[in-house]
Amino acid sequence: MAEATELIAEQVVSGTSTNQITFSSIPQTYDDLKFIMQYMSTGTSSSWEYDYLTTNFNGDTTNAYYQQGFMRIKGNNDPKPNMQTSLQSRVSYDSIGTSYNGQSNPGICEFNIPRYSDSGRMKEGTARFAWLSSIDSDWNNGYSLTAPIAFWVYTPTGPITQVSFKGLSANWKAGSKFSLYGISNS
Amino acid sequence: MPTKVVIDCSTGIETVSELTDEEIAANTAAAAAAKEAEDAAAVVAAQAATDKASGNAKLKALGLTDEEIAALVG
Repeated sequence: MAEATELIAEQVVSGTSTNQITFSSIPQTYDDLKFIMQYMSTGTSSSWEYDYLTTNFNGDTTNAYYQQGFMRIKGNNDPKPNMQTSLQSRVSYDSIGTSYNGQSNPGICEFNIPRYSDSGRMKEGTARFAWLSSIDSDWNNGYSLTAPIAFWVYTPTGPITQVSFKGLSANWKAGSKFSLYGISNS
Repeated sequence: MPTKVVIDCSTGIETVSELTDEEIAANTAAAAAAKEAEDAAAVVAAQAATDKASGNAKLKALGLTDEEIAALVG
């Protein structure tokens, strides 16, 4: 069966004030959705060597999100699986490169939402994401931060028509790019 | 002032508006909670590393080699 991927919408950040990006009125005509993103934040605080990409569906900020399989890997430390089993108000992955200490590495993420337009069932999806510190001392110690794959569940059963992305500590840096694709199976 | 961008996928129209005071407050609270959770996890990880080093030292004191300890604890 043929598969077709089509760009639905894309946002490239300009300036320094964009805090949240929302894709609304997503067409319900595809089988699956996929976001491909590359992003950095404007944050320079020493408390935020990296930041969290947070995702909400349909403007919903209630405790309706669940995720697990989240794994952080530092090259010079033990792997740190972080099994998050309680319901949260968002999906959250620590994958945003910040501008702390002159860092310049963005984070990347591929975020998949299979069968997003279905009614009558919870939505499940996956995210692959990675970020690598560009601080010399970290780099010299083999410090990287990555997660091969994570699994999330959005518990409401209606179609997903809107997806929002934002960081926690600062705004999106200019050049950050968010692309939404629709995938058709036939 | 931080802004939010909404892209209407059906029309391609982008709308930019400023965050409300409530949204800014929610962002601040979420960031603080995330940092607090991360700090707590770091304390737990540090204690685990300390316990591991202490356990290894005690096994070595009993005469086990590094290879034998690795075989025991994985």
